[in-house]
Amino acid sequence: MRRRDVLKLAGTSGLGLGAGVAFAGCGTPDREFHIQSPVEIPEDMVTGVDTWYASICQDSGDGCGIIVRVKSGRARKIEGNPDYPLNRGKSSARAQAALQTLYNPDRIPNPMVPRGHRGSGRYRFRRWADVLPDFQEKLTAAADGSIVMITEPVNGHLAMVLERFTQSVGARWLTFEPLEQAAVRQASAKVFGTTRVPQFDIANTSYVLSIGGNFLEGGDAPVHYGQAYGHFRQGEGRSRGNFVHFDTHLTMTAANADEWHPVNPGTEGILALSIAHAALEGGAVPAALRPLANAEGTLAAYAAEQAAGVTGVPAEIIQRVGHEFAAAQTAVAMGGGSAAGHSNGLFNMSAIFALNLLKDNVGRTGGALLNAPSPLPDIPAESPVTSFQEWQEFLGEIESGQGPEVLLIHGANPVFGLPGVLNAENLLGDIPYVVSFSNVLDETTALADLILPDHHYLESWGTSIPPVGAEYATLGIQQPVIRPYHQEFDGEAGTRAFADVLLALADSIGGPLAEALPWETMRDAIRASVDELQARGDGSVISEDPESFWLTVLQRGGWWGPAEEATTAAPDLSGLPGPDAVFSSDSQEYPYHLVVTPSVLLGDGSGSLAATPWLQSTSDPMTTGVWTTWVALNPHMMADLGIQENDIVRVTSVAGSILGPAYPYPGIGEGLVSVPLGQGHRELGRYAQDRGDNALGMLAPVVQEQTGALAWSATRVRVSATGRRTRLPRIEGITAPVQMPDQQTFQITDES
Amino acid sequence: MHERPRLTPIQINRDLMRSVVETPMVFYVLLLLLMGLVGLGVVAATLLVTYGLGVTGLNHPVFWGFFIINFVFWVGISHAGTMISAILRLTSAEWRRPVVRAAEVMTVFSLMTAALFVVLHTGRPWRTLYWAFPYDFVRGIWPDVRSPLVWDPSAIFTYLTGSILFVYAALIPDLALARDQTTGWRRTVYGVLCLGWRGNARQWKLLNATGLLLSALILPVFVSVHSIVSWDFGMSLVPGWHVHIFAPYFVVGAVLSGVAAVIALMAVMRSLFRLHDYIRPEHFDMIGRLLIVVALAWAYFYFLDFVFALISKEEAEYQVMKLRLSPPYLYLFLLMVVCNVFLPVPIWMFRRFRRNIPIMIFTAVVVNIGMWLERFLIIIPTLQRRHPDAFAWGDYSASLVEIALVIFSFANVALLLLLFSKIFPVIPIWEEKEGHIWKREFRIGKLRLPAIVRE
Amino acid sequence: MRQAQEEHPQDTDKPVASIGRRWGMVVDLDRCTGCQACVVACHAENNIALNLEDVVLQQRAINWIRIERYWEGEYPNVKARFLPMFCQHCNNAPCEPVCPVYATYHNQEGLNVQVYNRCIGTRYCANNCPYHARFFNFWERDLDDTHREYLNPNVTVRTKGIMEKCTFCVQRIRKSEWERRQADEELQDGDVNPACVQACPTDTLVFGNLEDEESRVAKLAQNKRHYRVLEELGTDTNVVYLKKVDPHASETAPAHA
Ligand SMILES: Nc1nc2c(c(=O)[nH]1)N[C@H]1C(S)=C(S)[C@@H](COP(=O)(O)OP(=O)(O)OC[C@H]3O[C@@H](n4cnc5c(=O)[nH]c(N)nc54)[C@H](O)[C@@H]3O)O[C@H]1N2
Ligand code: SF4
Ligand code: SF4
Ligand code: SF4
Ligand code: SF4
Ligand code: SF4
Repeated sequence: MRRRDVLKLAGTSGLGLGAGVAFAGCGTPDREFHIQSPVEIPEDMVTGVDTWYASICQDSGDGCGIIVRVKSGRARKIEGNPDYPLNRGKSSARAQAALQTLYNPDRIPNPMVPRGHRGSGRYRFRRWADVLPDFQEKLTAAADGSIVMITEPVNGHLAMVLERFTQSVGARWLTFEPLEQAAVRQASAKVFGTTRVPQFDIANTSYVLSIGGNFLEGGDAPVHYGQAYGHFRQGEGRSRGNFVHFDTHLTMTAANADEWHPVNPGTEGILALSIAHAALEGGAVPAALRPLANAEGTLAAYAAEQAAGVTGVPAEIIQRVGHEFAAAQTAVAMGGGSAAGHSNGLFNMSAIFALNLLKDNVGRTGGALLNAPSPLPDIPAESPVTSFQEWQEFLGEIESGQGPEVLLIHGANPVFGLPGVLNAENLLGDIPYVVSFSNVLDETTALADLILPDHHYLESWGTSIPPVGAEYATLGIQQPVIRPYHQEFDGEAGTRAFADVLLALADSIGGPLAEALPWETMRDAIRASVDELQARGDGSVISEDPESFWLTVLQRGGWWGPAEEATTAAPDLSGLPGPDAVFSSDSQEYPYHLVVTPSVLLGDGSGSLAATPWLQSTSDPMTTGVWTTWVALNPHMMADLGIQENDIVRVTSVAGSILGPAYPYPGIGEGLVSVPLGQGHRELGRYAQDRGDNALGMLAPVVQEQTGALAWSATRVRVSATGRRTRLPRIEGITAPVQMPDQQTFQITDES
Repeated sequence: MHERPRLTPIQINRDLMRSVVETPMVFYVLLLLLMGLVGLGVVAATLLVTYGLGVTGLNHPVFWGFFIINFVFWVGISHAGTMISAILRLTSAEWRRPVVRAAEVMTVFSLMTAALFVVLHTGRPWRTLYWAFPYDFVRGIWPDVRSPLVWDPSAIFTYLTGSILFVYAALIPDLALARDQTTGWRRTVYGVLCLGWRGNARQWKLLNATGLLLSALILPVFVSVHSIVSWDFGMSLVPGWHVHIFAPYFVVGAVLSGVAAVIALMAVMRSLFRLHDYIRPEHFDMIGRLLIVVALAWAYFYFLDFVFALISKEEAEYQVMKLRLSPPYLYLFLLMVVCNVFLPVPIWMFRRFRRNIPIMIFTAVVVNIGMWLERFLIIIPTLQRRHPDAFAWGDYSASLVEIALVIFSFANVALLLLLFSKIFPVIPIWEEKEGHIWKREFRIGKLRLPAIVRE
Repeated sequence: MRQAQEEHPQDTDKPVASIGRRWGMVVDLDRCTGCQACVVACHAENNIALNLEDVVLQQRAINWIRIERYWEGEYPNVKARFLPMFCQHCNNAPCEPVCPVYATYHNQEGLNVQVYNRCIGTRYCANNCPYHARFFNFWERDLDDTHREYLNPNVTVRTKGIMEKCTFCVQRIRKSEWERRQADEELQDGDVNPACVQACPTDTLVFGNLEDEESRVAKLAQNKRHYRVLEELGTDTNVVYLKKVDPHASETAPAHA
């Protein structure tokens, strides 16, 4: 072989080898792409068994059933209880965020007393054993009738305990609800004969007419209504329902309606009657509605043409909606929100609820379902309600030196929630001895002489009687899902359940109080009630053995069973319509109407939800704003006032003012100013403190004449630029998102 | 045609070795200044690594900002070296001789700086080893070859290797010279580095062949590097980036900024090392002529980018273009067009201006401002209006850390060049002499004869 | 408006062969009320860093699922439309091929998986995701001691410098598989419920195996209202939306073909 041949050979074989390697390399050996098995989050696969405890969510009045995942002694996740009749496995943003009120770094871990003078802001930790005797002495020493207990509206066993406790020690019990719903309850009493507002069966109705009713975001049972709404829209076996909404501005619920029409504030009742007139085609009203009708028995005074001028809703819309409402196979009329907060709230709500009588839908599928009463006669489904007028009187007494000697506060924050002009902060501060059972330092607790921190609801016992309609009488049971996070050691520190403190106190004071409250702990009280239920021998749990009955009830999250029919009175609309809506001040100086909007996440701010970073940082559905208060204004109005987005504006009423960045909100009319509630805390820990402003404080103290409630929708304001600017933290991008015609992110269809 | 003064080889040696053997005061001043700025960058980078990318102005949706702009910018600058050396060497452009080394060295240093920015811009720089050096053999996981971010390092490392070889090969005779002119440990070091160069005929032949071969080999790399960098954008699904002309457009832009940078570098060398006899107005003249063509080509591509966006009638892309043409980006856009075309091109049209060194420095700086802005306008507004998901549109402003690191990048390249000039002759002495020899022996004007034929 | 493909073409160039299971979600826009329960549920389930005010202002908030709100029309005929947006688990995911280190890839169940420990944080994937569904950890998280207590032990706590996004709650998928396997059974439709699905009061979200024709999600995906977001990009998503129904659509909506 010659040298050249060798080279040639080497060349070709080299090439061949090279090509072989190259081509082999181009194919993808299977093994090389099998990357998932070793790297697919093996570290996340934690085996082991979770424990799920059923309990009750206490973050909004009605108490959905929840189940809580507990692992390594810590609550890890909250879900809806799939068995619970009210919410059937579903939950809300607030329920999810309860983990952050439980593990709030700013919870009060021990009893505390102020260091130095009261309200100094500095505290000393104390032992339970050291503070309780003194507390008991103060209580027993107080003259009869000079103890006042303030709580949030409660139901179930806590309501029972509070009732007996206050009665036995001769205390007054005041409940506090910032955005009073008295008009709703009393209108319900007038129309449906019960103060427990019926469940509107929207899941099975074909037409929902809502005037101010923001049932998807606030109101009675948002999770329940959310679930029903889903069914109302696209539920199997039914055709899509129609939803018409009237409200002063575009709320989240309004945004979900098929049509939303703005209505002038305070004219909701007139609108409702005008719709009734249209629905009746001008004819005579049914007997129940007579008090609202004229001599001929018709609603001619509310004919669409006249009503259009007052309500601002075009006559043809009133006519059409009236006809649709009348023609619908089943329909419900719901109300609430700001309609109930006007000085004529009772009329507004009664007129709206009365529309249901036109459809004769009470107690019928797809209509207004009355709630079953409490399954246990001595466990109340509602607590007494203290009206704004009574609050004013109470504060007046203090001012005139006739205030109580001892004030006990649990779960309510009147210093934050009452209008600022009432000066509640100073007046409550005048009471000689103030005890708070709050486990977070809120504005009212900051005035206390003694703080006896309550357990979180995930650490303590309680019950709930939810408004689940007529089907079930229900007792939901709230049980501790973990050992208290701030645990006691030999009575030295830690938190204690409010109810257990009261029961222990009763035991130690003795006498009639101990007789009224014979149980050692709340658990025992609940156990006794559950034994009563076992004796019934029907319902969701049936067992011969009391112990296994008890355990099963706990496992299921409560007991529900056949309900007795609710006792209701006949409709009585006398005394209506009553006077027209009045507003806080004239429209010259205060040209705009203030709409305070409870946040779907933070509520009205009176609880401790603002201390949860999750709710703080979750976008408000409509504006996507987070972490602060903003002022939502019509964009044209802003242009007229020379206000730019993110300019800090001052909103002033006769009773106060707030500051916030202006947000151009396309869903509000030119004469209105919408401010979200929930912020503006001066206390409440690192996540809530000093952010935004509290619009409750600037409400004018206008009283609803017929109910004595605060007319929280009656405040008028003016708006002025401060010349300063800021940036509203929000989740949407820097431009208001409007779809591009060519590339639509979401699509809609008009086929129903 | 050349205005080269007659210089003896000894004089050339002395002039060109001056930067290595003498250390004037201004060197120390510059050294301190640049080290200060580099130190600032080190502080910024420390903050960046310690606290994470939170210290930048980046956000959702603007996930890339100054770092990537700067990365593209420096890869662009690196195109000067090859452009000047390889193309001019292959085409035997005589005027290239005094600037080739500086341009090549600038290529190496700007590439290194660009690569540094790639690492700095990642969220976990300490983990980027995965990427450049796949070491995770056990699990059989390799970098994903579909990702332009894998092509990037491949291209850059290839180009860097080629450029270093390029510089080094051309350094050998000068290293030998340095060896001969120094004593002590320096002599030893240079002696090792020059690989035993004796200057015999065979060595010269090999050197010339190497030069040509490397020139020819690096050309495709030269074209590919900025094409691949452009594919970081072009291969994405982002409207405004997903543009097919990006590759040639980026290459042309890179040449524009790179060659302009060489102008500035030449001018600095000329005054700093008193090289007036070597770097002469005629060189600026030649580069100016070249740049007219490049700048107009760039303008053509930029124009096309707009035309395509407009005629495609694609809403998403249209939104991006609209944003680029509305304030404040409109002002940046206008500034960019003025900097890249409307100001320099008319200047370069005049021989008088091309030979005026201050004016040429001015155009060089202006063009590079324009090219930096060009990358800014490609990256930032596009990400702000990324996709029709209008809900997540955002804005961006750079943080002090990012600004400090951009300043650092300029100081870093300058510092490395300064240090290089202290160690190696910045003008290839042998090439300069070669030019003299040929000039003496073949006075026949612009004769296009490859060097190898002259052997 | 382009109609969704009636059925999935059996793409031969899909990165990984399917194993008879392709997880998917149906989002019925006609049900969603914008209540945000899903958003907080996802935060609670997946150990997502707290979006403190500064973080939101920096436009760096992390929300694996967000409720986008779009405006339409002018007052008083103005409409706000809600759209839950999260990772669409694209079968042709634009985020996947651009990742240089395989930190995001498609698995055999149709999931777009994110491997935190490989991610080096180039953020290329996030640029390339047309749905803005990827989120970058710009800061190291700073949790109060007590806020650590509720962390989900099944989900990695991410450090600074890495990318994250909706995983379809893969830990729940694995858990359900494991539980069924313990009982020697097959996974059933309805076994797996991601946190957002479980919370959502209105049943807007339905999760399941799209490859199982009998599953609820597969049936809903055939609903005549189905479409996919930005379908024209060819991402072939595993999330199918059902159009919102608005009897008055033509009065406010921008014209759509
Ligand atoms: N020197 C030494 N070290 C050991 C061992 C040993 O024998 N000697 N044993 C090892 C073994 S086997 C084990 S298991 C580990 C145990 O070690 P750890 O897991 O640390 O166990 P503990 O210290 O018993 O409990 C930890 C904390 O959890 C809290 N906790 C538990 N349940 C709850 C609850 O429901 N609510 C609240 N609020 N808090 C709760 C307790 O108060 C305690 O502070 O230690 C290991 N380390
Ligand atoms: S609606 Fe109220 S009770 Fe129900 S889960 Fe939400 S916060 Fe709890
Ligand atoms: S939605 Fe975005 S992140 Fe999810 S798979 Fe598709 S491209 Fe990737
Ligand atoms: S950020 Fe992480 S997942 Fe995304 S492309 Fe970079 S390395 Fe891959
Ligand atoms: S599927 Fe899981 S990870 Fe994805 S958005 Fe829902 S809750 Fe979050
Ligand atoms: S939980 Fe359901 S209804 Fe509420 S915003 Fe999320 S998807 Fe919509």
